[in-house]
Amino acid sequence: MHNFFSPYSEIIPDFDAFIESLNRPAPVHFRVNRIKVDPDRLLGIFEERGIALRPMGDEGSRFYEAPDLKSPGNLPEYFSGYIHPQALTSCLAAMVLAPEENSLVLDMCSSPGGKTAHMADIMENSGIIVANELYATRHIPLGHTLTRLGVINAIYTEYQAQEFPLKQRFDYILADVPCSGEGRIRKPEGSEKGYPAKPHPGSRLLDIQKKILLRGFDLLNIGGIILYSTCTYNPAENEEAVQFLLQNRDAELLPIDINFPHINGLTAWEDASYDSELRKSARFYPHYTNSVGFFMARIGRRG
Amino acid sequence: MYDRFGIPADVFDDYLMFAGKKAFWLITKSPLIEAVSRLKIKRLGIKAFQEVGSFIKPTTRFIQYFGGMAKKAVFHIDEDQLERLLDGEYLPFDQDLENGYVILSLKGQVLGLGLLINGSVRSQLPLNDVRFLTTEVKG
Repeated sequence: MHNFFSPYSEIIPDFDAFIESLNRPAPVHFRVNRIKVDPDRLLGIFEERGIALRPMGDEGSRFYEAPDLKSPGNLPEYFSGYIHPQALTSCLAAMVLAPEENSLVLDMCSSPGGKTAHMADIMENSGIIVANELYATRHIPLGHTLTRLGVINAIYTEYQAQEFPLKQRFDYILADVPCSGEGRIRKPEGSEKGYPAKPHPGSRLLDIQKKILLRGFDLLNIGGIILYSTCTYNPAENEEAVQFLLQNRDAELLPIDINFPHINGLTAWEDASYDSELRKSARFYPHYTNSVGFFMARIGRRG
Repeated sequence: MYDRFGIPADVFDDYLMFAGKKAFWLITKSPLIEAVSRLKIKRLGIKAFQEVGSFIKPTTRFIQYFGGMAKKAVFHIDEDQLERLLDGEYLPFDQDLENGYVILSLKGQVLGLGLLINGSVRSQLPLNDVRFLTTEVKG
């Protein structure tokens, strides 16, 4: 396993602790869905049922770890859309983008819909979210997630994200792009070996990521904000894609102000160097958050 | 919705209803809808009603969203009654109510619909979604 991520030993702080954290199973985190239930009421239901919860982040952030809960998807509260099991770091994307009520939002790669639904929650089901997903098979889990969570302000489209039509500009855009998914790799429970093969992003994937970000930026209103995110550590899929945008558009990196442990984005990797603005992007590591590895950059379109 | 469940009609003033093929879809009323109408839309909002034979049936997700505002035809159940309904049992329901749908509410948590026939209610919850439903915490 050490060799698996050893190319990142220079950029991931406390690298041994990082490797050690991958040997532990990912905990069950969930978000309370305010569209359907008041968080205090949900806490009362779980307390009555004897489900121990540990709040994550700031008071009122509505993210919880449930150490004893093995299958939250079997609970009535899941079926009713009161909760949504979601990686903690994945929950942060909508919080950082923070779409305002009554705004027009595009989620370029929406399925399975957890982040889309979180945005609807933040917007109190107002405005419109365009939930775009290319693949018809992925519309099934997307529709299931959004309807279960009571998202009534979404329309569904199925364009290629990098070719989303330039017919309408948006106030907020989430570009949670397809990626190699390194941040999700953990040692399978009970296994001494059996790690999945290290995903390697082909040049085609890197190209698609850049094109999606570029198209997303072009779809922004002046003053609009796009959040670029992946669940991978690879700088080629993260800082390099944002660097590509900075070189080709009048974009500005915006600070990420969030009270979850993270480190700044990189300004160099192997032979590449990146704009110092990339420090404003954020890297989330499992040994700091006990969740999925994640990257995000918050980008504004200048007026 | 008013006649059966006592949900006031003006609750739906903030929404638009679209008719599809054997179904009706509900979406938040917003001036932004016109802007996105230029896109090729696959579906929208939530499916609110669907035609079942000659009847129009509210969907589970629609009832979960609006059922909390119901004033009547609500069957309040506990965990034990939920398990029995999921096992296919018919449960007695002693309110003076015509045959038809009732809202299943687990301690205030709206789960969906049951069907009242001659004083007994059976579950109308979607089997695929409730097959593994349990109020047990561990396992």
